Amino acid sequence: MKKRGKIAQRTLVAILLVIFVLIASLSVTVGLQVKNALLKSINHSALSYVRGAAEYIDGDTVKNYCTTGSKDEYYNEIENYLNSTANSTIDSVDNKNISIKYLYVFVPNEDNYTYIWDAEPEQEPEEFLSQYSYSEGAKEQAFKLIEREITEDSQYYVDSEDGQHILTVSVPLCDSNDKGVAIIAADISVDIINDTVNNTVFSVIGIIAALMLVIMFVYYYTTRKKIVQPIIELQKATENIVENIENDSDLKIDITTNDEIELLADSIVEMDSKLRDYIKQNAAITAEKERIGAELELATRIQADMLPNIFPAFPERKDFDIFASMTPAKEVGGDFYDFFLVDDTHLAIVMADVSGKGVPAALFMMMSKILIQEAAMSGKSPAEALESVNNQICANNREEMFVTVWLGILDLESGILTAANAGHEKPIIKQPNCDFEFFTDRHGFVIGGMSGIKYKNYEIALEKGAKLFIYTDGVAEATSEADELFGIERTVEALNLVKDKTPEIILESVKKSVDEFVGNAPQFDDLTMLCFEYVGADNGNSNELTLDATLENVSKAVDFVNEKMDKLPLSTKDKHQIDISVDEIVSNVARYAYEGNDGKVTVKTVSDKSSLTITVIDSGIPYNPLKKEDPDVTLSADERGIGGYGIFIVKKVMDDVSYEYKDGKNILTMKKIF
Amino acid sequence: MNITKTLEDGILTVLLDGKLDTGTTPQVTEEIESIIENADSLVLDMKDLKYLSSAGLRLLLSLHKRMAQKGGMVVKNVNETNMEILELTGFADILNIE
Repeated sequence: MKKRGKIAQRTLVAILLVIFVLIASLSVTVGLQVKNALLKSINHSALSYVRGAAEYIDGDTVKNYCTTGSKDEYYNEIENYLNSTANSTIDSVDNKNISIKYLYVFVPNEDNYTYIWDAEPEQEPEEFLSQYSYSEGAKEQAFKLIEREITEDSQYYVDSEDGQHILTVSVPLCDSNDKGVAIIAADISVDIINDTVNNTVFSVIGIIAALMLVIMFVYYYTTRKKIVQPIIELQKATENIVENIENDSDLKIDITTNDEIELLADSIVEMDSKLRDYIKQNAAITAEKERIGAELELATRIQADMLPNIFPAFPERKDFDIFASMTPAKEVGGDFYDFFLVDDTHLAIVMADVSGKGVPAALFMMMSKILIQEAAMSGKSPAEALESVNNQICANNREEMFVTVWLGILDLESGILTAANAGHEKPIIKQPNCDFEFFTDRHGFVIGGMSGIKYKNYEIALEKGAKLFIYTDGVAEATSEADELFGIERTVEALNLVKDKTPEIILESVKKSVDEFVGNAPQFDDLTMLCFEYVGADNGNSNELTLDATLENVSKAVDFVNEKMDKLPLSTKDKHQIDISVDEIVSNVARYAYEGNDGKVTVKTVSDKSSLTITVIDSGIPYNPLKKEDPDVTLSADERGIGGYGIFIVKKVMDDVSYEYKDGKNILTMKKIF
Repeated sequence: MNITKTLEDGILTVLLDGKLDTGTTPQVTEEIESIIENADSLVLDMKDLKYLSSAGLRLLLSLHKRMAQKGGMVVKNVNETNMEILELTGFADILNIE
């Protein structure tokens, strides 16, 4: 929502309020001043009239009137004099005449006062010697005058009868002994002066208001031009910064007020320029971070892909089972496991932990992994392999990184495991009908620490059904929220909970135990584990038979397959059809594969819950029997040739038949579904 | 593979007991060859024949062709497995099956 600027208006309202108060107080002050001045002047004139009258009237006579109670010649003369005096104009204000309203003489008594004369030009005068009670305060003033304590008295008040503003001035009337006997007073209507006061006040207000309007206008104009407009400019400029922050145009603010606002504008321009620089810098840094992040992710994938991670790793090998897992704590870690067949009867197993974390550890890990595999594949014993890897790494290890390695090579026929340990965790081994237990082995120095180190081989005879668990310190050093280590004892306990399960389930279970123990605490180290189970070769139950490819041996191949079928839920008809198929394929190999030369034929069987798969392999001339054209089964006996029925029957009676030529071998696979 | 041969009134009856495949067919062929000259017609009793492969089929075809010029060849007591093979190869239409 857009807010509207109000500075000018608000100040204007404030000024108006101030002016209003100013005018109000000024008019009251001026009004009162003028009024007092006028009243003073009227009072003065009136007093001179009244004093004149007091001189004129004989005080002794007045005393007698009260005692005789009768008028005389002199009384009438004075009455006329007073009437004429009352009619005369005593003063003028703004060309308006002010005259006496009442002029009267009275004698104050103890309880009342007695009128002697009363000159009232506009009204019926009070009766001679008529008596009236005092209004409040009047008696005291009257007696003060009579006793000459004061020489004159002026009262200003509003008449309760007709609302006129009245000024009463009074002086004492004295006898020949200069003693006060009566009071002579004049009432003067001063309503006229109110108009004068009002007019004066209005003109004062008018002048001030006009002056203030001019000031206000000037102020408002200046405020808008010097403060409000520049502030609006600044506000637009800052909006502009926000909108155009991505553009490359520099900010310009056109303010030349030569004051603090111009300073502020300069600061904003500078801030804009610095902000742009900062944003550019920041964008570059962010792009760089993103690139590094993407590369790290790629590195993690490459690293993960380097480890054998497809399980089962050797689906055709029934003599052992192996499973491994790695859960890196960071994007890329330094742990690794590895396993590979050195030859048909020897399996190498590696577990290693590179010092440090992150990309350097990952690079070091890759190098170590490759060197170890190379050394082991070259036929060296574990100790020899570690020695050679150590010397190669030490030859060029300026970063002084190192790796702990456990390397074992198992003879799959005898179950003899030959291993060497370069500073790595002890293996945990379970022989059949026993628990998982530590195997305290001979530790050599870590690889990469010092060249020329000798490692020693040791041997463990694995019985059929034995299991081997190797791991990195991430397992034992997994830390709970209470800062407690998972520890090696808990690892063995976790293993023994599931000791009779397959390697895959054992690893899952250990991982779960560790996860439960760790809870919400962050994982600092990679969690890498490998479990191996030695099943052992079972010669009497081998699923593979290799024979000389002769017709005489065809029945042996059939018998071999027959034997495997005994345990499978196959119908007699299925069995016969399988027999026929093996007979056909193997006899074909014997007849044609080697073109009369000697050669071998291998028959393999693999069964699962629902099918039996038979593979016939020969190294003869490449030949895909499935491409052979099917015989025409509608021909008469005379038109028929003698060949082509064998493959045709196989294709018809088996559920799936496939052929591939690989590594110089014809591989024909047939499948029968139960 | 046991072969029982009975020659009576020029009818040679051969009882096949076992499997007629690459391994056994040469023996069976030899045994039948040794006596077939004296027979007018041939009866193959496959009551106890577990199965036959393409080698067996070839023998059947060659015997069938030979006997067609004389008193013919009859195949009897064909079990389910064997019948299926004969049917899918079209031999069921050629041979006289009882």
